[in-house]
Amino acid sequence: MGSAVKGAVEPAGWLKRNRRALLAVLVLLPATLGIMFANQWLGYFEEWPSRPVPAAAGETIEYGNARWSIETSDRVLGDSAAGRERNLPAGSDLLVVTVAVDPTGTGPDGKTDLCSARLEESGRQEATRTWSNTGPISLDGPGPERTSCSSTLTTPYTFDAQFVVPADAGKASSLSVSIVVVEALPDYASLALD
Amino acid sequence: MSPSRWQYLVNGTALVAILSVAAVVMHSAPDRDLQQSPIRVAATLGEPASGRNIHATVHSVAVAETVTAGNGWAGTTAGLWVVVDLSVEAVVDDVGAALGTAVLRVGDTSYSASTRPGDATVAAVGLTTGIALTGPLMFELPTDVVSSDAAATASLELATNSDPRVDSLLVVPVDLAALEVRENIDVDFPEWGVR
Repeated sequence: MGSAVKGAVEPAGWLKRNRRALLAVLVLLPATLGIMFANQWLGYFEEWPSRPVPAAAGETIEYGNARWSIETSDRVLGDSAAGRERNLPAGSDLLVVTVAVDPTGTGPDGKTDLCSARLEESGRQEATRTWSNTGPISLDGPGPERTSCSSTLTTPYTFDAQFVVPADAGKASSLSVSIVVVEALPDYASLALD
Repeated sequence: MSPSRWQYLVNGTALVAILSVAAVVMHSAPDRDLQQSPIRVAATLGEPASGRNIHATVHSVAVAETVTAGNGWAGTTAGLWVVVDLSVEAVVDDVGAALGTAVLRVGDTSYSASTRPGDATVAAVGLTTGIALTGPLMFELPTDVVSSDAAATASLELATNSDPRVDSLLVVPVDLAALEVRENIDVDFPEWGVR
């Protein structure tokens, strides 16, 4: 009865003898993993082909060589008189977004920024959907005077981006217009709609 | 203490087992071609099917000696026309989205959709996200191909890229041998929207 078995290692004693090694493991293992993850994630973000510069609805944003904002957005229902006049496909609506552009400078070629606009739908359970400005569907009737950016106007102006979208687009999701100026990539402006 | 004969046996067996598993893994792992192959989505006639950026329904398939397209183009051929009526749309993105792959595969031979009818087929039109484009695809085939044994197990392959590797490829089985050869087919001009 009584004394411990000779040769048995008590846990407290083992921890005490190996405390320096354990401390080193506790410090070095998370540090190594942290450095590896940080390195990979930084590389991942740096290699993104594009990065959004978000703007809330009604907000003006500096991007490229201009200030950008959404002036208005109008939805033309496909089954309305105006929709029939534009010959919208069955089950679709036309979203007309007026973008205000205030050029603040010019590019290396001495011209103001050209751009492309896309409509992006997010917040759905399914994958994010996007639409091109003036996509492949031809519309009847008089269209807007200007549908994209101008490389010659140096004073504030507007253009009307037109998107033919399914009737359910934006009903249970958020819509935003992405403005891309090639010289400003990988950044692009993402302007939220109301 | 020197290892016993049993320990040698156990170690040797474990080594052989590990090498065997490694050999099986090495020979059954996907090679580069398989890793880059299209992601085939099995579809059936009359039923909608979806891939990453393509959603399509093949409504009907017919065979005819001549076709009259929706733009008035009259197609004559030394062979036969296989006319496919389908609805197709992009799912997530319309940039560069067109029916880049519209192929009828009969045995080991594949036939691309004809672009002779111009804008009267969906092969020549860009797609848009979430809005269906309904219209015909026309394939020009030698007469003997339609009556060959392989015609019974033909398949229609659809993708939004001309190179569908590492992307969805809808595959619809088509029994061409069971179809009656009609003298002429009038097809509608492609139309956008819900039918």
